[in-house]
Amino acid sequence: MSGSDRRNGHVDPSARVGERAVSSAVSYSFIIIITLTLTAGLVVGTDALVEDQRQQVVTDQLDVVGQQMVATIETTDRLSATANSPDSLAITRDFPQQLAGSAYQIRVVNDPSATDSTVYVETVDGDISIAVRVRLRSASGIRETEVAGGETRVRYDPVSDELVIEDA
Amino acid sequence: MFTLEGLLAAVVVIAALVFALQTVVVTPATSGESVSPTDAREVESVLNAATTNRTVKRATLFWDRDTADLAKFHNAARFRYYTRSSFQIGNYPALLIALNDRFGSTTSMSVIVHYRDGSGSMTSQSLVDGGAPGEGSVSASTTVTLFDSDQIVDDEGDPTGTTLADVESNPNERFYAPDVSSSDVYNVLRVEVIVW
Amino acid sequence: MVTGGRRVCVGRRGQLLLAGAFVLAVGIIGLTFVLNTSVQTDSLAESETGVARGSGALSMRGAVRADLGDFLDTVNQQYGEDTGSDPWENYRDAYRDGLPPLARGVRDHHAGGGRLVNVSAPATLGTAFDDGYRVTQDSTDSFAEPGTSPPVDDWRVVSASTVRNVTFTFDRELSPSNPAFRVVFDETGPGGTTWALEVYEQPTASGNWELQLYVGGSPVDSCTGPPRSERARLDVAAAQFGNEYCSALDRLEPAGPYNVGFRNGDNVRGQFWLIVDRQGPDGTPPSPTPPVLSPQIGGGSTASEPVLYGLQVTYSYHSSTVDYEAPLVIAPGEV
Repeated sequence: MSGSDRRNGHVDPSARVGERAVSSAVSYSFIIIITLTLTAGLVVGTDALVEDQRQQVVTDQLDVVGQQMVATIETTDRLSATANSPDSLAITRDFPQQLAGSAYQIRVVNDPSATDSTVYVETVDGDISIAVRVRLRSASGIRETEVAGGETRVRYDPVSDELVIEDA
Repeated sequence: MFTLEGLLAAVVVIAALVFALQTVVVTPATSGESVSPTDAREVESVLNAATTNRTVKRATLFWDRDTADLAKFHNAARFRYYTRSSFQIGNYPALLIALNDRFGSTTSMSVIVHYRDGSGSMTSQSLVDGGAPGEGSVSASTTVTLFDSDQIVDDEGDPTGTTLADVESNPNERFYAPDVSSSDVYNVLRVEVIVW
Repeated sequence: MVTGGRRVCVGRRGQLLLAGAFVLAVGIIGLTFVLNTSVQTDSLAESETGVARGSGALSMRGAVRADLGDFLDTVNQQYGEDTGSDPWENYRDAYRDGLPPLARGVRDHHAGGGRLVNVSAPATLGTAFDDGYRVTQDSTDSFAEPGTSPPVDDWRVVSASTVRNVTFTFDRELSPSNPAFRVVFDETGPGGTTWALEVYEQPTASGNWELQLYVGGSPVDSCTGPPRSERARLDVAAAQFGNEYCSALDRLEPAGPYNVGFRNGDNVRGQFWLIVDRQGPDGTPPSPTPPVLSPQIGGGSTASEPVLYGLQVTYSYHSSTVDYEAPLVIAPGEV
């Protein structure tokens, strides 16, 4: 290249014959910027994808825990339906402490107008929440409470004819 | 030109892939076609309904003790029990007809009756033999008590007038389970249904 | 400088390749973790079994109830009354002898699965048994009060108690134009309602037997039975009229204690059977005199004999997840 420069008699330290009017510094910085942008985009995209997948997984697992909790409540309700109150009735479930790395809690709210209750299974920071309705046939209600995830027990209290959800 | 960097890049990617493949947790559901065709709850609900209707008890009493050589369930072909294909026609206990209606078309089924024999050990009598259970089998059981005054049922499903106490005292007749108590209780059976 | 620039470019490209490879590796590992956790969801969902949920306790309770109901009926059929001071002693002894082998059998079958299932008689024997009487009219006769002449049409069969296994067979109705036969369940508690079952033949020549349910005096439901020429069999507990299911009988649910009476009993001919609880509403049994004088049975009942009305047992089910102990009251076919 330098040879052709000298041949034409033009000695331009910053340009080359047959090259575009772009200096090497500019193209160098373009390369840096483009690659940095692509890399950043890749990193951000992967991060967003992983986070999105994690959210989906947490939602699914909260759903499973909610269904299992309601099934346990309904079974306890049916077991309590004897002519005389049971002497003792408790079912213990071993739910995982955390779901996909997030701590979660189980909360029960009674519907004052109707006879159902709603069981909320949600992450502690309140991002994701699953609600399942449950209707009791025999016990008169569920005590409103909030328990952390993990080993949970559903117990029947004969004095108040209620189901009590508590940490085991 | 890029040999060193290219080599390093390739090594990093391959190491990540190897690590990823190694740590994927393999559970039974992800490793092959063993998804069970039905839920344990369905089998349990059919058995619960049958217990309330007393069809479980009638099925255990569907015993033919009049054959010359071998006492067996009514119309069982060669062995004492039914095989899978043989109870589509003829008279069979209502329990098997109900199970067949629910599960028969796409799945295999075995029904086994467990009881304590005379020496006190737990043994079993097959009611239906569907072969060896495959993967993804679900099972449910229920218990039923037989009393000395319960009557054997004939192949139409009607009581014959011969009680279990009669069968026990008659040396020419046999019932698969013995009388384990001097009280009115004859034996306690557990009927297990396996579906796969 | 140009060559230097190109050499710098080359070095940068190499580093960029390496950086891209690292990013790809991070992405793969991140996706792996996500896959792991979603597989964990599957195994979490699969850990749901009937035993963990507690439905085993429920289905075993149903099986034990059915077995004890059968045992009660067997004992009532096999044994007659005791001639000593307590007419029910034979039944109680037979039941007490049979309960341990039954409980042992049930326990053995479940011990293998890590579950303790037990059936036992309650501690105080007084609560274990409900004595009763079986009141029967085995021969086809009118349903007027027995021993009265002229026949008294409306009379009380049972006072302030509960009944089970109520069965009727109706042979024929004498006079379709007269008021029809009724079985009345009159609740004795405060604000109690009156339930009535009316059975009559349809007036047309080829008509059928009809059953009508009245609650508090107003008709609520009805069903049709077999043709008039046949006998109609009424089974209240199994909700069957003429061997077919009748929804009106399912809706018949008087709250005990109640009086049971017949109205217009002279208008039909037939048979009936029922088992009545001997104990009065306050739980104390009347003096154990012959049934004719018992306040629970209408005077001069056709035939009555002591049988066991019901039992109470304690059912317990313990597994690694379920803890259940409850008293069960067994009175099969209670109205």
